[in-house]
Amino acid sequence: MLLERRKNNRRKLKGDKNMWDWLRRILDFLRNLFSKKKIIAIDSNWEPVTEAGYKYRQANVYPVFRNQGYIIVEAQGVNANRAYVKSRLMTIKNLRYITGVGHGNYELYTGQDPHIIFKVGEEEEEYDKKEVNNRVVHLLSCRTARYLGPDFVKNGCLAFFGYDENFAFSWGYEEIFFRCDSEIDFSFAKGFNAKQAYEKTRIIYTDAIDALNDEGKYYIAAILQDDLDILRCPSINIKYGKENATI
Amino acid sequence: MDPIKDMIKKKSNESERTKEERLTEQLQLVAGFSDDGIEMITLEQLIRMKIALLAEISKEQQNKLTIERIKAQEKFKIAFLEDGITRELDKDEAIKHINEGSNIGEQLVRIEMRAIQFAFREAKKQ
Repeated sequence: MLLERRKNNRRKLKGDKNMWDWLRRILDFLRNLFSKKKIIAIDSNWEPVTEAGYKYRQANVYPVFRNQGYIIVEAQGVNANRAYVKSRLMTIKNLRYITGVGHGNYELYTGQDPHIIFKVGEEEEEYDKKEVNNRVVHLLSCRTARYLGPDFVKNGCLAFFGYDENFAFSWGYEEIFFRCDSEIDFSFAKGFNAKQAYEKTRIIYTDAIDALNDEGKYYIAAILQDDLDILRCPSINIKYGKENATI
Repeated sequence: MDPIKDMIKKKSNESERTKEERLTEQLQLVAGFSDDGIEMITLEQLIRMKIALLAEISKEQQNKLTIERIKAQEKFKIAFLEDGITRELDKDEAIKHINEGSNIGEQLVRIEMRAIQFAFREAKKQ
């Protein structure tokens, strides 16, 4: 009788232990989920130019962030629209980095079709400063460094990386152009600050330009040089944020 | 080998032409103007005549050079990430932008002038 009772108690204890074990695991998982650093990928892919950039980044850029323990919030393809992006940026905690490929202009960045994602000025489409506050932004897009980037920084963005004029590339060599630009992402993913990210990116661009010239690809080298010349970030001007910014 | 250099080497190996052939082709392309500023001359002539590269070339002359060089290219296609324009330009569209003096046109001229400088530097090494 006594033996039977002890066995039952032991079974109950074991069951309780299992239950607590599971609960602890769930809590650990949730804690991990909410405390993990996150990035948002705002990539459009609605026509060949953005599709090429999206495919490259999907295959080469985001795996690096995942390997470094980041969670990727995917605002890509049809989800690269204002409502989706805003809802994610306003609600997700510990989101440190905004990156993406899309068409752009001096005062705006677009997503799919192309929806305006961020725009300076007009009230209806204007972004909320909380969307960029305390975050680092990198946009592979044309012209956004002219007005949009500095506007982000005025509204609390830690550092902005983008291009002052048209980012151009030559078909057949698109991977080389995307590889050079993505050094910005790789650097932040690996814990480098904005100054170091620019330095590493400049080296990759310069190496690629030299290698293209060595192969007699002068025109492609010239396009790449133009892209490097129009790259803007805190190391170029303080209006793009702080050189010591990290994600 | 450095991954980016490796990528470029592989890409280059896919091409039918050697780098020497590419340089020879560049030497035959117009790259400047004669002393009188009227006649366009090739990179080879420019080096032979010891005319300073792109010296005192007006905006109009730069446009002319760029158009001639784009016309001479076998294939021409350049892509942009700009909102609100045709995202890929072929030869005719590129020339139209240059003639209109658009922002894209100015960029194309800038790139072409840079390409001439790169080819000139390489040719001088030979």
